[in-house]
Amino acid sequence: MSQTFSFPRFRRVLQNDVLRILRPLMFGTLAMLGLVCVAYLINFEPGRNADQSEIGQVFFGLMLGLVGLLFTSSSFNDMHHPLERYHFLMLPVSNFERFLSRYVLTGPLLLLYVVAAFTVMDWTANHFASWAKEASVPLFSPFAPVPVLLMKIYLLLHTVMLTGAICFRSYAWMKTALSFLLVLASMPVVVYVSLRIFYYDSFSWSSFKEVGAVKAQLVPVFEAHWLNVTVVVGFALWILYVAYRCLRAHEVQE
Amino acid sequence: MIDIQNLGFRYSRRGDALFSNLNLKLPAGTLCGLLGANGAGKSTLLKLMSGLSFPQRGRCSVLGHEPGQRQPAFLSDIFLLPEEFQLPPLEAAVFVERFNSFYPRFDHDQFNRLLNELQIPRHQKLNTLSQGQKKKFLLAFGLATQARLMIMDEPTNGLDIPSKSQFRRLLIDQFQPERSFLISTHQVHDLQGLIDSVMVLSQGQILLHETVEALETRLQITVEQEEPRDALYAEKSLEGFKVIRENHGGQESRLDLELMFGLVTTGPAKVRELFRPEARV
Repeated sequence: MSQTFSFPRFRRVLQNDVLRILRPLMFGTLAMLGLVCVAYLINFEPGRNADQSEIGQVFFGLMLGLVGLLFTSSSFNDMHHPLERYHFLMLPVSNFERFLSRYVLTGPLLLLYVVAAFTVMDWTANHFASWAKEASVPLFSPFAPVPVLLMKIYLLLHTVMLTGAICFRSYAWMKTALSFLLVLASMPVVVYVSLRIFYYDSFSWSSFKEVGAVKAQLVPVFEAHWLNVTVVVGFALWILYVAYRCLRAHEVQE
Repeated sequence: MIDIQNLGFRYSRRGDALFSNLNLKLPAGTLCGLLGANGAGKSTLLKLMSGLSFPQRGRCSVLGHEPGQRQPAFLSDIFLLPEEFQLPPLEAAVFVERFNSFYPRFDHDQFNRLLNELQIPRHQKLNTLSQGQKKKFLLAFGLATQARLMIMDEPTNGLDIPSKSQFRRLLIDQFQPERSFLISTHQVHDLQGLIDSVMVLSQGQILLHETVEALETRLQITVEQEEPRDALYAEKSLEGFKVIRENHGGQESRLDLELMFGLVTTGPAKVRELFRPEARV
């Protein structure tokens, strides 16, 4: 049996991970259902149905963004917990299976669950609101452009949050968000410095004002959709690789 | 079974090295006690052997594996009973149902027997058990995995007096030639009459690693009223002075682990001299 990946072993560890979160997930879903029903009831006004068709998308985005990412940030808590880490790290599965199980659980599986759960929540809340206020909006469609875009953004941010969950021993959510913001903020600086270095003779020294023609055009390259997709997917895969390396190198340090 | 060569380890880059050149060999079929003062590095050594920490230098091989790789074949053949741990909010049967399949040789009958013997409630959530009961549960699970190496860090902490003797009896019952137990503890009395070899860790080195038989042959322990000047080590007690001398006459003497630990830590040079290979002939 392979020491890196074996499907029966992976299935067992994933099954255990799912069973571990099943109870809190059920309670969370019920609480969210209540919240959505109340929110729909408050926001639905008879005669203004058409304006509020995006309420479902807003709630779907909130569920994915807040619940999904918060859950992801705590997905490796047992690995960092001083009393629980032995069980997590000594379970006879490979590091890759440990990593993949939590990735699949908090990424694709959670996404599918949120889509399915929210579709049901939206339907329920909509019917509840239409019964109470005689108002309704078009039902939430998970395949509409906005939800699909939200799902893609979630999968990308999820890779970052998963990495933070592995690398940071405490306050993973906060530390990952801050690190991510720092990286985002530093990107324009990097672009600016790069431009000043590579096109040093095209700008004046004291300002960013063009003094000569820029010799290369970068923008058209990124107009190709396939290239953008490749860059984003490649970036996500690289982050996941970094996360896996972090997990492999994780050791009990005190 | 365990082969450590020139192992170097430190917790932080700027801190002092806990181990700088540690060497250790532990054969299969031993019930070994690991003794050491606070901060000597006992728990760290166990973590290095279990793959929970990684050596920065040297080689550490356990059951033919490099522990740091955390390969499933290695992890299913080793079981660590930590000093402090938490169990999930599951009943014993559910816990076993979820985790036994990771251990190919898991013995259900033995596990059930051990649960009965240790009087662990089956229908109570594991996280609500007392620390002693949790320890007994994990001990039963660990023994039932049939792991070839069982590493225990302070296993008797939190156990009541009957449980301590139960623990000793269980280990003796489960002892097999292909199976080893490595027990780190401060409670040396709990290991008395249980272990067949002793390892003393101090200042990042194994100061002593000998079988109990060799220690009993080479050392003689007596109780004397006057403090002796020519003894290897003496310690005041209620009865007088407990004394360790070199056993020249071949008299039978029962090993006192606490006294022996005092000898090794206060006079490591004497012990090294006494147990060097040429001195045994």
